[in-house]
Amino acid sequence: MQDFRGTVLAAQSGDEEAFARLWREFQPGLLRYLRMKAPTVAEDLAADVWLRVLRALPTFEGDEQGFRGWLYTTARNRLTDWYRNGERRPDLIEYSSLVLLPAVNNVEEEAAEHSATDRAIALIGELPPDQAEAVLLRIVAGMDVPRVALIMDRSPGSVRVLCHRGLRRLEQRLLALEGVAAPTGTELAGVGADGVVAGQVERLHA
Amino acid sequence: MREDPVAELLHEAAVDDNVITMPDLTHGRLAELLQAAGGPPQDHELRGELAARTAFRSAVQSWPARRRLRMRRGPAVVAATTVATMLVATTSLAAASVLPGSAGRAVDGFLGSVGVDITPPSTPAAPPAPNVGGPSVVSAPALHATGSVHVGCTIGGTTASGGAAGTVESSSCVLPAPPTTRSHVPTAPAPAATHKAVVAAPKAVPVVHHAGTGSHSGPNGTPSTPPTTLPGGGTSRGGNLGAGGGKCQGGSTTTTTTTTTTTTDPTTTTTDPSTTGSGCGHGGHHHGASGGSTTTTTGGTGTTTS
Repeated sequence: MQDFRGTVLAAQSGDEEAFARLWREFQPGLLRYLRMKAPTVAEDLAADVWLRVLRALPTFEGDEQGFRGWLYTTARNRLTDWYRNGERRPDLIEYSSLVLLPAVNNVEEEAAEHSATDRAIALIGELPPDQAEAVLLRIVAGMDVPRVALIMDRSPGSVRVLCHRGLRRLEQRLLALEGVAAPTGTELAGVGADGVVAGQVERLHA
Repeated sequence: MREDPVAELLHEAAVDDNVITMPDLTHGRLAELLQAAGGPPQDHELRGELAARTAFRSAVQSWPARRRLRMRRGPAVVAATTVATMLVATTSLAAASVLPGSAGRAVDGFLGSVGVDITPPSTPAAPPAPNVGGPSVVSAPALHATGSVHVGCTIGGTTASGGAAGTVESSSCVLPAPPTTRSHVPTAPAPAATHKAVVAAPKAVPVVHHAGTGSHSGPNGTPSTPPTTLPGGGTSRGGNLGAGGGKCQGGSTTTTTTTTTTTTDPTTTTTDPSTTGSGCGHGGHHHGASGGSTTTTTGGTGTTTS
């Protein structure tokens, strides 16, 4: 985001347009993250997260990565509250309406009805929860490993392993969808001490 | 086929010297998937912008109020902290007698006017006066904060303890008569003591007089001069003690006591300095409730003023 600091300062001084720029920049990733964790209430949770962010926005100091980490940490805490407070209740469905539901939970068919982004998020959501969260925060949200480790309350090494396993599983899943056996060899991609994936993530976002 | 079996093993373990084997993120379906997952925002993801703007406007209205509250509280907190710090620091300095004299008096007066008494409980100890007297040994009595001097004398079976504040009790103690003189101080030739107290003890029984100038004060300041019957059959009325010219120094307190152990045998003088307060009577007048800052003891030939 260009001139992030100036945008934040303007928003802190009450500039609505500056806040709108912030919101447009960060809302899609936040919504995808919440949609993966709590699909049915993702938008409500996202609105609640922004309310919390707004309350503390005048006191925020930091760069773009800090703001992103703060936003996702708030979202994760809100998700925890949502789970802990029993807000997650089973949907009550009438028996007569069950005939309208699809026979099987076919992710591919559901994803085909949506955009590529929705399909990608749906496939990532099929991963185990920790792997899905690590991949989403690391690859999709674009945060570095230490920050993801802070958000997930894990060690950086654990985050790297979760990312690795999640990506491998995604790759196998994609190949299985194509009906092609998984390749035996994989290319090496250097992961430095900070866990940055050799510039490939940057190319993905470019 | 890899040549190095160790590298092959590490490759299987997916960790090779801080290098993790990663899937190809630049080509293939996985790269497309990740690119799509982090793709540009979609319309349905931004449809809540109006609600977000509304929330922002309402939130902004609450920001200045909180800022104003902080601004109102700020000077008051700073002022209160400053005053409290100065009060504590000044009191501490004054109590530690670090301040110069005039400043200390000014602070003392100011704090006294607001009810803070920083006067130390006792004045600093006077330097010990040279022992010019005889073999008398003085141990300082316990000086209580109330100013009363409690004297306990357990030797000889007679014990006297303090009474009301500001009073000094005299006590008479009886020491067994050791055969020889025991003293920690060099024995000086004491001048002849003037005994006003009548001691009618037999020669073999030493009688110790612990009394001052004859002013006995009762617990409530009532003068009392109870006759004391000594085991030796002697009777003491707290008469004047010459102490053989001995001078007693109060040690760390300003209380000066005169201790004289006198027997009818002028050649025998017994002191027992090993016991605090033992054989030590208190004569004279102790003035002041704050620890007897002025003590005058007038003995037969010895006068101690501290």
